[in-house]
Amino acid sequence: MSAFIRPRTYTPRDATFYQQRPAAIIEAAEETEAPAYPCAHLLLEPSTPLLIKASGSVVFVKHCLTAATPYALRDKSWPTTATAVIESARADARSVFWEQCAEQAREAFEHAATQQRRTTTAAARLRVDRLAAIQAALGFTTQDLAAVLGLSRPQLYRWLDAADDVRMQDAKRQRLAAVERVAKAWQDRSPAPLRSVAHEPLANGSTLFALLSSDAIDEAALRAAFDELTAKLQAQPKTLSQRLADAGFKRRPSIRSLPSDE
Amino acid sequence: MAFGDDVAQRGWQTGSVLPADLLPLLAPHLTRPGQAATPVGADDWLVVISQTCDILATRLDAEPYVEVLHCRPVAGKPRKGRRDLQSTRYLDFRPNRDTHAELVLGAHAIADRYIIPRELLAAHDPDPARQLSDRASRRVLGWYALRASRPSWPNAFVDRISEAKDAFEDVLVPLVDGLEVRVAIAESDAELEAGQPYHVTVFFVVDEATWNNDAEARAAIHAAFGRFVGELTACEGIEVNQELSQVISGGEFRWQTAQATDEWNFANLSHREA
Repeated sequence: MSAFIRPRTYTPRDATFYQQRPAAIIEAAEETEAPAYPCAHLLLEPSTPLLIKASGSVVFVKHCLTAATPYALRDKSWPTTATAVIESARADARSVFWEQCAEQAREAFEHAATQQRRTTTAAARLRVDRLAAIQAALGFTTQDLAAVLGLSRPQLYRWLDAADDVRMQDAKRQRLAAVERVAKAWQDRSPAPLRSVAHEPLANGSTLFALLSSDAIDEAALRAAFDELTAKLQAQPKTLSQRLADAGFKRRPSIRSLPSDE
Repeated sequence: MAFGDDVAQRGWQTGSVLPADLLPLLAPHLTRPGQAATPVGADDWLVVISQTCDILATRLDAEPYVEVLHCRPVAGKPRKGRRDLQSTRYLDFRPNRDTHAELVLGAHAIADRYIIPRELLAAHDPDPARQLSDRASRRVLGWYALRASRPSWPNAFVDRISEAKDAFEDVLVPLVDGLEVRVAIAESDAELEAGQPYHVTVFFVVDEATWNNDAEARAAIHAAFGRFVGELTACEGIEVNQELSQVISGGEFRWQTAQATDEWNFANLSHREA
């Protein structure tokens, strides 16, 4: 066993999976979107250690497993003296134990992610500021913005989180820059966000949202559509609350809007 | 002259302070069952917190009592967790920046609240040197309104997000007026066990005028939304609905949706039984 369990250092990207790979446990590790992970490694019988995920400097601690204790799950955040040992099980009950292990691993990862101080970097803040400026101009739902940027919704939420130091691929970076230019161009024309007219049909039969979310963004076509959309925006009837405001009925200040004591 | 006119002529209103010469008459009313009268220090403020219309009600039998709040000076600034209506139990506040620039008072919503006969006001003037500012009066009334109207969130939910409370405060406090954060909690009536997530949807509802005209404010709001959702998602046992959560114009946020959501404020983040 000592041949496998020895001091080694892993980075998240270098994390290695040994031997058997219970899918549930690996998913638990991979789905946890933490900036760093605790070390949790599962030992499947003395001679077959399984590393689930490691981060930063990790020192493995030796475990003396016996035939009576074939499974052990350990997390870096747990005291080494409190290593959780799952008792021996019959072969037909092992799948249940795997599920238990997976659940423990998932909880350990989530717990570590919560405990970890959420820090930010200048690059992450800049990314969030750029996205916020785009959203200020477009006002899209998260789903629509994700489509425009070519991202999944969870990916976009990671981008929107300044504590998440995501690495942008070149294609995504270029897409972001293109959308940013379009958003800026719209904002130069109108103080109102595009959202309310983004799905309105254009003279050519398309919509601005369709143009923006196509694989290749045709910035010239989008800019050309802006005149049409600006006119549509101005032609929109006033909402009830706007008509109330026009008639002198103002929004009452909330308790929260009272100036701070400080 | 009607009773209320006497009281009005003396200048009583919400935020008036009971004068020192009235204190001997108040002792029987500043008591709890089986306890001696609450001592009132020379620097304490006994503030009338009833609505002015009730203080000045024409008929005494229609409003026989007024409510007063016993406030005591607090050293330094308003304390964290008690300032800016963050607690519905405790309030630290500045009573009047113009007349008492550095003074901070503190009070407990229930333990320091008393009722006294309104007829006492007809024979005495309010303290001429002490009076809550209009802002402070609105704050105190708002504080009680918040206490009565806040939703009661499950203890388990509050526990799960408690570690991020400071982060939420950092996100929300600098934001402009004209934004309301509303959250829907699918299991709002349930104390869930560990391993059972609370499902939450977050709305940043933006004043329609800001939404239509102020891109800079919108950018700040969108940035805050991302951070708020990020902090909430990082809380163990909280799952944020990424499809439904959004920044939305107040012109589009419907009454029906409002009924399914609670306004987020820090006074909600306290345990039900506490």
